[in-house]
Amino acid sequence: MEHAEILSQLEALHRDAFGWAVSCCAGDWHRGEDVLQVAYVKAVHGSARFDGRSAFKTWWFGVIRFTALEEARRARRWFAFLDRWRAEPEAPDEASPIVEDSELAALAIALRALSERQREVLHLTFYQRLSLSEAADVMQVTVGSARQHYERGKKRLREILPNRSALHE
Amino acid sequence: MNEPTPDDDLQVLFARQRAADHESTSPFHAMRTWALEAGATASQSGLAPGWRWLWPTGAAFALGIVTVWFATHHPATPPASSRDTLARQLAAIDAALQRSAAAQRELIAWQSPTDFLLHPSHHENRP
Repeated sequence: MEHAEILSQLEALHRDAFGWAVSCCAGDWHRGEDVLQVAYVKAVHGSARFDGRSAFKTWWFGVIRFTALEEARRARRWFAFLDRWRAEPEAPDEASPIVEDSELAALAIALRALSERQREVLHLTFYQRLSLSEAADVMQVTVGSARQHYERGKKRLREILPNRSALHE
Repeated sequence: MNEPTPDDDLQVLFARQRAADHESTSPFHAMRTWALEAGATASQSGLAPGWRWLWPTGAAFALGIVTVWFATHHPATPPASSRDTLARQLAAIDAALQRSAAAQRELIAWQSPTDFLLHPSHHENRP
């Protein structure tokens, strides 16, 4: 794929990719932005190459997910190092824009209570509108495993979310 | 008419979340420009990512060569053979014996300061 074509595809997917990066960072906008920046560097400079074996969106979301995991691992090591020198570990910075919509705020809180896999599959299917098969591809799990996370995640989300009846109406 | 599915509530909620996120997303061009600049900085350094270990590896290799050179040109004390060890032990024993003999000679030559009192004097023997 040509460089210009890659840039064009990246631009078309930018907003969705941003949402996915934030989701991969458990709702932390600043970290999501950093992860997406690093993923762009990988895509622009060829350290992550699209080989055409899957859809571009699936591939790109896989790159973002992998980058988020790398960054999280690096951050964990760094914080573990800092914690040795700190009497009391600081609370993690959960930076996100102020959500005025109470239902959206409740959704953000409820999503944080889910497991990483559950959060991923629900985001990919409901937010990104991917099929379970595509979601499984991004998450690098089998479709059966993705379905299991999907069902459990939905069940758990409905248990946590307040005013479920209001949502159904 | 489409029947509502059991997941419609979640669909609606996530769609609202998506719309809200899209409004506050950082612009693509700013992020792309940053990525291009970051890549340009990396290429100016003249090192591909695979070559970033070149300097540490080279330094470690040079250090190894220097260490080997010192080891070969400034040999440490060679390990003593069993013959040398035996010779050293014999020398130590000899030195100890000599010290002991000297001490013995000193002991024999020693005389008590009041020893003369025990010997009879000429005046007392005189009739």
